[in-house]
Amino acid sequence: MSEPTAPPPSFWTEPRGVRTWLATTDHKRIAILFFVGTALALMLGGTFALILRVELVVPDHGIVGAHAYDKLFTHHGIVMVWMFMIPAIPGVFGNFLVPLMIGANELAFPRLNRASFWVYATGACITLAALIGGGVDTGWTFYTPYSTTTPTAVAVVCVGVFVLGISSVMTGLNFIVTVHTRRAPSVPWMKLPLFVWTIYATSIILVLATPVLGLSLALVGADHVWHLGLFDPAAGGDPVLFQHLFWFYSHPAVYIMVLPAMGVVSEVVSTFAHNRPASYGGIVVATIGIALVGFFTWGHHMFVAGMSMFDTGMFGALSMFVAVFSAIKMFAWVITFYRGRVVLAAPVLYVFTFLFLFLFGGMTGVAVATSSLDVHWHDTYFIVAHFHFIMVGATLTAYLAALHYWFPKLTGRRYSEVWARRAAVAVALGFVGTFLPQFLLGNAGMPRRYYAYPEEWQWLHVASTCGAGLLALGLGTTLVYLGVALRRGPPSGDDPWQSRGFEWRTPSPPPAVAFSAPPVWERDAYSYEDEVP
Amino acid sequence: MDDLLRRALMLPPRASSAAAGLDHLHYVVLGCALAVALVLFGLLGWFVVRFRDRPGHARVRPGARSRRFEVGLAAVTLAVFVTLWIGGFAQLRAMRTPGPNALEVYVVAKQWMWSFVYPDGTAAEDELRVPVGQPVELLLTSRDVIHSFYVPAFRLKQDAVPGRMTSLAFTATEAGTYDILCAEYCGAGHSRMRGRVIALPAADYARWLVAHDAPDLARAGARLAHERGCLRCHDVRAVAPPLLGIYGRPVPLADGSTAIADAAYLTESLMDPAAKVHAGYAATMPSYLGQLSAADTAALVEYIREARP
Repeated sequence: MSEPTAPPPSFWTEPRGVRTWLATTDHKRIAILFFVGTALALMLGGTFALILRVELVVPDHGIVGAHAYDKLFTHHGIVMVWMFMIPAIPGVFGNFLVPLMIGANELAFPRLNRASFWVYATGACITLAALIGGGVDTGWTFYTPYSTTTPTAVAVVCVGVFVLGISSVMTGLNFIVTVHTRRAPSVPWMKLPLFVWTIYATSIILVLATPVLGLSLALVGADHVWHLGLFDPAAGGDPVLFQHLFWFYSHPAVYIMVLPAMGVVSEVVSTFAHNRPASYGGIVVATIGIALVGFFTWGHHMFVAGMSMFDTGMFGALSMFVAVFSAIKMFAWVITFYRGRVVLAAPVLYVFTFLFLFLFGGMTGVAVATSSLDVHWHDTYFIVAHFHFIMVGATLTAYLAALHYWFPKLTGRRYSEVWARRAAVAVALGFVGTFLPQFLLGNAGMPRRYYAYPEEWQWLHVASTCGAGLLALGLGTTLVYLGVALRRGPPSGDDPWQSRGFEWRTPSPPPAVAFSAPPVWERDAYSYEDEVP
Repeated sequence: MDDLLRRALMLPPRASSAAAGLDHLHYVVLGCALAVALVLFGLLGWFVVRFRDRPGHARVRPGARSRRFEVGLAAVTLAVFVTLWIGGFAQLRAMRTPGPNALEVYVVAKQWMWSFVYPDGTAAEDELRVPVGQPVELLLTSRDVIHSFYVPAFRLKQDAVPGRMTSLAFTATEAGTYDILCAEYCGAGHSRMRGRVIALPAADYARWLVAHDAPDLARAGARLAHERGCLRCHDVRAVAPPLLGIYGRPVPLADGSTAIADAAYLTESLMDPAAKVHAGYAATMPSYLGQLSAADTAALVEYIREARP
């Protein structure tokens, strides 16, 4: 093992020992633990996805049976949503950066933060234990009365996801209190980095919406075990009630995933354009707007479930406001490049992919919110492609952008830029290649969660599977060169991107205690004006 | 041009009165998305090339922020989205309103098949025959879990929910055979829960009906009402609301609202009697969920519809 330079003391080595890592309350170390957890979840969920894609290469039985297929897409969804996407950006980058960005040494409740990781790990283990018990075949949406009558291990998964939800609430509460109470005097609200604003908005959703998820899963789990008939019409229950409860959380959950992604994009765009964000105020208003309006759009998942025309109309119209707030951000990001000093590097390549997926994912969202078009597209591959673009694509590309942008911050080392660009291109082409054919499959009328399909759709499935292979290749490559860089990467210096962000004003990697006194920052986090003569 | 776009987007052939309108709105939304993408990514590309970091690149101060520009841009965007929504919502209203003299067909979904019952008592599995040009209203329910009745060629879909009656209106415009798919995940047989709609020219449909020489549905319903003892209560004014002449009339409900005694209400009252109780009566009726077959339910509703005092 060759060490190019003796690393200065940092949070990585101070204090030493595995036990100090496991018992750590340091937000930076907890971020690394969350990185390990979410990266493992991404690999597991990705493996399920690859098996699904390979199965779908043939129109009927290929490598797994119908029932195994149902379990695979269920666990793909559960792992990716609750173990990867929800905690990915807040748990890793939120934990690492929020204190550094507001001039604090810690979150408000360091021990609660430690608990939130271990509760997450516990919830993940319980959820995965259901796999050993044969897995679950309900789909990640747990629609009743299927979920309350299937003989699979529904109750175990409900407990697991319930526990994961507790971790979410802990994380959210901690961020809210931290942003309110731990800002250094030189970081007033309207000088908060945009990433912190998005973590703050996300935390509000986490705290308000997650209990409703816990409630609905508790009801499904209890019903499954004790046959309470809560959602069974024969016993006076209502199966559609569950959908309302579930989407009251799970629609805002999309914004739990995508708001932090937007925060990452705002930071990366500003740094690589070397420009102040085109509209800081507009982006803040849009961030809070999405978090609030997002609570009133859940019904757009139920346009063909027998909802009244009035409700259908209202939920459709309210959904358009989310689209407007998203559009404001999109405009602001593009305009930020105007009259900047644009440096092209791996993080900004990921951001370009993000913008592409976000625009088309968003506009297909507008398309389904017109309500009449949703009648044809609902529950088809069009919806699958739509939410993979807007929710998965946006979150994944922002997660990768964040990983590449802040890798020097986290480790003090640089990765191979050449390999990073190759991987970024592979991820972009792989992702679009996977889901563009699925939009067409949805147009053609292929319902989601289909094990067998008519032969005339085979070529689109083959194309989609090729895309998934390329995507997996890109992600695998990323793992390799970042792993190499972690051990042998050349030192990056404290601020390799010449960013003005607050987080870059501490050493990279930061020492265990980043600030000996509350920092005094005279210039804000986007002060690139000094570059202009 | 229309047909070319339809094929390029992989949309199935059109066989219902709703299909063309939906496809056209689809093109409009897609056109908007592509236009915005062209402008935004065009600008982005230009900015990135024009302002890229290179030797001799001289920075120019970006113009001052204009709040009026920002608010204006957001307002225009909102106007475009709201316009699309108005178009889509109007279209949905039209799609959901059954045409005059609609042929009502009862649809019962169960794992993993579709049952159809016609007003004259004819029943069929997995095959729905409808006359071209006549409005049809499907009244859907499910025997077990949620299913979704989906005909891509009609661009129409409606969930079939246990304990509820939902409806779907359409008019077939082209004779032919079209796939019925289940669009709501319902277990291991989900992808095989397929049926066919056979749209027949009116004359062929009439011939098919006659060929079946089906028993009269209302008469079957009357017999059933006696057999099941419905009239033991529903004939006594003090115990249960009388059935004769109630069809299509407003029913005062215990909670003060009113419901129209249509097929959906009557079916709900059979399956979930406590849901909407007639004002002035105790909620004593038992649920018939799982007790009555789809054909029996349809027969009872038809009996109530036909019965006159």
